[in-house]
Amino acid sequence: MSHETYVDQTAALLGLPIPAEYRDGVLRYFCIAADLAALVMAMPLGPEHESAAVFVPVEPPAR
Amino acid sequence: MSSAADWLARPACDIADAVRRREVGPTALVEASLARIAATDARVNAFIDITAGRAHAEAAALERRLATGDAALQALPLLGVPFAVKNLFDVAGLTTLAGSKIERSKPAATADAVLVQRLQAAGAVLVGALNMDEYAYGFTTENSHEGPCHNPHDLTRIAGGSSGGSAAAVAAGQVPLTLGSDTNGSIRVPASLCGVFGLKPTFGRLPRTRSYPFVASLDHLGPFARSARDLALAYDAMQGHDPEDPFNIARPFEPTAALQAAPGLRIGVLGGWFREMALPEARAAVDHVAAALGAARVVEWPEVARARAAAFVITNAESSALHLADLKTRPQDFEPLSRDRFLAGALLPAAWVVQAQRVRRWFAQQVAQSFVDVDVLLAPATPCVAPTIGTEWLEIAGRKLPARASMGLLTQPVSCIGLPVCTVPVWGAQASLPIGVQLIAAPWREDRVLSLAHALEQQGVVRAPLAALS
Repeated sequence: MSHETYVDQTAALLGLPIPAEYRDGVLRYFCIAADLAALVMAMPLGPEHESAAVFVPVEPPAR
Repeated sequence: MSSAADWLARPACDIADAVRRREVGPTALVEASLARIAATDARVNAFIDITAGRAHAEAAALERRLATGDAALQALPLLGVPFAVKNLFDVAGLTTLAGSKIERSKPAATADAVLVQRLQAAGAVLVGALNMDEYAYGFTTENSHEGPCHNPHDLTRIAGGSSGGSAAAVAAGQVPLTLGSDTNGSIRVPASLCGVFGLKPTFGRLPRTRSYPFVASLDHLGPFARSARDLALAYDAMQGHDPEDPFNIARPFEPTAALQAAPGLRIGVLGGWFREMALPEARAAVDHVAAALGAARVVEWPEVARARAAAFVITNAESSALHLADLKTRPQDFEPLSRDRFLAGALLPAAWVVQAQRVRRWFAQQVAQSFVDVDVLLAPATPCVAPTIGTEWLEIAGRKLPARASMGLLTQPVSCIGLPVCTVPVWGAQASLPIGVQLIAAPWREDRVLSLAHALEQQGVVRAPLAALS
């Protein structure tokens, strides 16, 4: 699938209209993100490599 | 005897001392600050809101307590110091715009951001809110709704961003102390371009409660000033856990304002990406600081380009998701310089974002190893000095790169893993403009970067003169 097709179909799925006057810019920025994401995705990581996103459980308020 | 205007041009620590000695009063300082803003801001465009009524009331309250000989008041570290904040900090009675047009219709904040409250409790007096890139998504403060913020050292050039107003107000002598935020470089870039000191503390150190978020995974808050001591005073006044911010880590109070010289501090210079993506003036600034410190060791971090890419992907996806409702219904009201990037970011596949968070953790682990052998690392804060407003392209490392995004090339890999950084201003690396050097330490070692910044300042290696604005 081309980036252009992906952008159009994902935007439709998300209910995010992309006005015609912004479409070229959106495609350009999506391609920039895709190029950088390719670097990220090419990093060989195994199941032992944890995420930096860490959740902190929420305790009930004191009574 | 010095006038209030003379005192305003001095560092915040000197101002507070003068107030303690009753050589100048808080009200006179507020009036001097408002007068300086009135005289210069048509050219600089740092201020979006001025809180004159509040400032006068707070100053009068300080005057009344001073008249009673209140000992607790006398001890406040920022007694009578005027300050201002990026307009993503809540200020009671003002709408938190975050540089946007969209937020103008929102109600006013009902309480101050926690960090504003803490500076006020330390004796500082708020005089206004400052220009920034819309929703903090930018490195230039070329805000289309409010007009660009101009670099006080050369009004044709950018102040940097996204906390451009915060750096420019300090460089212009409008206030000696400001607050900003830094997600990918938004304190360090404008500090570099405006020639002031800036502190991005460790991720999770200072509470973000009641500040407008940009990227929750990466947002930091911190101060700007014209001396390292002022940064340390403000930073110490803002330390402390706030349970309302889930990203704020409960640490003990670790004071830095003593600025203890650290003999034997091991200093390294970051090589690889941090040399390759820097223009000659940025490399010269680092060399100048390294020579003064006798730092010859070169340290290379692995996979810096991937870390920077991870920060980009997380930023793009998280920030767009935050604004998705408005992107769907009123994209025309967004900043034209960032609207298309926001729209694109809403479409990124989840796998990219999840992998980016894993790359980020891997990179943090690798970098932690480098701090076994060094205490502080040096790197340029920006690839170059301030470009002219409207600059579209820069040539870096033999490649034509978009100027606005590229201003963060050297800061993004560092904030990606939340390390504390003090940006120090170097003059002489370029003919007429300043450029910053990042002093980078291991997590929670703000004391080291602030002490080193102070030592460099004492040696005359770094300095933050007021802009002439003539």
